[in-house]
Amino acid sequence: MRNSARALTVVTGVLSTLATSAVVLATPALANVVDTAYDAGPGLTVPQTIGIFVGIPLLIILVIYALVYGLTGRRGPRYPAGQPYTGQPEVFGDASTSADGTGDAHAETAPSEPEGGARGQW
Amino acid sequence: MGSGDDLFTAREREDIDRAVSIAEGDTDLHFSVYVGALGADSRTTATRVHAGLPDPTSSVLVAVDPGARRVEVVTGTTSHRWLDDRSCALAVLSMSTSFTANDIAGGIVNGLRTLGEHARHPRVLHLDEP
Repeated sequence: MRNSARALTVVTGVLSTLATSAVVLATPALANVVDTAYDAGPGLTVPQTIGIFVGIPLLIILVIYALVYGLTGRRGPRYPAGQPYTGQPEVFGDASTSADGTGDAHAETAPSEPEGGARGQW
Repeated sequence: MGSGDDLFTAREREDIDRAVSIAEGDTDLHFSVYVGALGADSRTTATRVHAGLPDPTSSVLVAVDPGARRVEVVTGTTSHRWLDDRSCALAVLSMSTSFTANDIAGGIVNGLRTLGEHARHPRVLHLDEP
């Protein structure tokens, strides 16, 4: 009986100390809001929220997608090897200055015969 | 855009041009690429195109006829000194491999790379001229 009274006293003391310290620690939070504090104004409506946090990112993603595929995604019809090729010959390097179907005239005056090379078929 | 433009994209043309200039920078030879119809006698046509180059003796011509599935490599007197027929055959082989997969531009770039590496030689004072 005496022990239980003592325990009750201890518990009451601890609880009251905790409550007091909590109030003391939280005192700054109870201070009045100063008038110069930033006023957040009225909150966003649901359509506004969705527009800002979903619509704008979606718009950015679509713009980047369009840029990437618009610039590199040209998929024209390709010439399939093996079909008769009737287009103009494509030339690279020095050949572009002379090989335009007039090779015959040059061949007459060519100083040297081709020496070697290789050939292949696929 | 004519029918000839369908063969390569602009990017592939740049790749081939770059491969030509790299091969020419590695060696002192001139590299040319001709892609088009070579006719029934492809070797004769390729030889004629090679002879029509500005400097045939030190030029290497890679002629590809995608329609007839033929590829010819023609070397001149000087270029043959640095690029023997075995090296040309190797380049033709590597080109044909890509051509089989219908990758004309990639095959040409591979072939030019092979030719450029095989034609590379150290510059020797006084002995570099034939």
